[in-house]
Amino acid sequence: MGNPKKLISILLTVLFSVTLLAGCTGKPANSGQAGGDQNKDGKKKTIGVLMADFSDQFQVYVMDGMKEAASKLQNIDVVYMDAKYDPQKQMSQAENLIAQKVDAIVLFVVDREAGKSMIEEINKAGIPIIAVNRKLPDESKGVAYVGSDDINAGEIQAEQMAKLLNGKGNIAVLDGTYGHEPQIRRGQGYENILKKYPDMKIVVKNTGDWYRDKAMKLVENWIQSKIKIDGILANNDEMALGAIKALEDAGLLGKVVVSGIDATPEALEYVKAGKENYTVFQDAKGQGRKSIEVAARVVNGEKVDKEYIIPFELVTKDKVEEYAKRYK
Amino acid sequence: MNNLANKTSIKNNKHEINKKDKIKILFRRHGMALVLLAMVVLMTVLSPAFLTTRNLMNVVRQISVIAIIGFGVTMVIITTGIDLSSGSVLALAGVIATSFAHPNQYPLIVSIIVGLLVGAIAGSINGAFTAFGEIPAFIPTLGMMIAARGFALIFSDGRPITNLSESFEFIGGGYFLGVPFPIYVMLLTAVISHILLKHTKFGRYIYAIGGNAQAAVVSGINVRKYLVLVYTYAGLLSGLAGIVLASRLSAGQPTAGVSYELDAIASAVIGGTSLSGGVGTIPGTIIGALIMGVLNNGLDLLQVSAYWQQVLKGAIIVGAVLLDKKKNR
Repeated sequence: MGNPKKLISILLTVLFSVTLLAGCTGKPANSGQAGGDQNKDGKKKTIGVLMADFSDQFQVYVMDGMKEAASKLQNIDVVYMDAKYDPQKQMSQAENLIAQKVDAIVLFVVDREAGKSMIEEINKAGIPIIAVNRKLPDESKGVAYVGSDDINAGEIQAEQMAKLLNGKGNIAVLDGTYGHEPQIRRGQGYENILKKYPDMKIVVKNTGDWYRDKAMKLVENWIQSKIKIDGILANNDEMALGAIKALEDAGLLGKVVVSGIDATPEALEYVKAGKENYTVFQDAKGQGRKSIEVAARVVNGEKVDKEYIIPFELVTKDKVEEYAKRYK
Repeated sequence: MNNLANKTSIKNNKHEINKKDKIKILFRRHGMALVLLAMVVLMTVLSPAFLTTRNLMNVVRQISVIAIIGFGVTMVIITTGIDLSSGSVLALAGVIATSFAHPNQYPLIVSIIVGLLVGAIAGSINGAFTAFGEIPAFIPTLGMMIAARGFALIFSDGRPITNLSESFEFIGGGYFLGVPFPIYVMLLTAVISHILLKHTKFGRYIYAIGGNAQAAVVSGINVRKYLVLVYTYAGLLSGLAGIVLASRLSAGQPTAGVSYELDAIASAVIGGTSLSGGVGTIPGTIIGALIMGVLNNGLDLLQVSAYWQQVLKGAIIVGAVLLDKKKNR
């Protein structure tokens, strides 16, 4: 009895691991290893890019922008590293870049708190840091920051809502996960604008945890509760699409203004179809492009600003095509 | 009620099921039904919007996905197992099924079969590791929870799969005779699961394995085979839930169903399924899911502040089960 049992469990284990390994090799092959062997003497300089996670869709677009800018640089190499959302891993990648004596580091930090000692080490080695998307815990440790401000996104979204509702109406808010920085800052943006419009009130709010299904359930319940809602401000597009599903089912689509943030390809389809009234675009590529441009100027000894804010952009139905193109 | 309980236990005596457990099940089932009834009455008093046909259908539709998963999870827990992979398997089945559900591509049945198959395969792997690897179900299903999510992301390249056929979108979004279609799917699944559990050899063996695995082996039950079957069935239902949810959201999302496994387990346990095995029913799980659904819906209707909702939900779930337990002593 013991033998076949063992055999089967071994077989299963092997089968499982083989499946897993097979899955892993399907990964994109461009996990850029630092070209440590290529000698960087002479005039050739290097910018090291520490990304938090290559598999995050947003960061993929950031890197697209970086690569676009990098292709225009002369005598500067750019190497990319994937920390897979592991602060420890990012730390050791930073150490590798320090050992290779790169001329500047563009940092998309995994975790602001856990990144502190890493940032200190890079500082000690005298390598300038350009922070992208996420600010450093202590901004004086970097030479420049390139990113967008989520308060700005919330303001653009709420301002357009005020415009469409003529400055008055009941607003429902679908929050992201409570405590997440974008949730806090986007909400701050709503408040900044809504206080200018005394006739616009937030009548109900709750968290959909960034998910479509949870937001859908919330809005279904809000509809049943008979609260009058004129507009829905969702912290992201996924939740806005959930709201649309609920409204559609109740025959209320078109009677409530719905909007989100991100301008995901799917959301753009909904805006195009007139189901989502508008969305707000965070320019991932723009952030990536700018971060490399700034890093290149630092490497060449030119002066740079402390902060480059890439603005969010309002996407309405007439501008959908233009934004859809950016994903291609 | 006592009489009824006795009768049932006598009737089932020949099925070699512990008499005491049987009585307990019945008591528990009715205990939580009373809790549910109390909640419904309370909500009706507090909110005029609660007791309307439209809202009640809304609640039942909202719990349908969790309940479908919950039926399989109930069976797994009866065998003293656990399934942590439901939410991830749901997502994997959802993205794969939707990729066969674009307009004018394949007949609807193809995407459904593919979705169910993906779920069943994932479930059978869970079962095989649990039964033959002889490791606690927590581990293989935790592994599956992580890996299936990964496969869903790989398969979909991290993006939602959209542009689905109208017939596919009907499964989750359509109405039949004025009732949302997912409710029929849930009821059908409930009936099948209930019959499997109460009126077949398969069901009797599941209770036997959970009651005492050693005794089950001695009495000649092929425990391993039935464990694999139970997990396969649970996986199949996760696949079905994945199809329903993807259809409802008009997208196969690799991030769908996060933490659904916990809601499903909670529904089963609130509904009287014992985590130490051998006890549990499908009607009980429906009641458990309804309690969670009424709670979510009610707190939203009453516009309880979002932060407090979480505190109340936690407290009410524990309180309800505790009350029920006390009553049984």
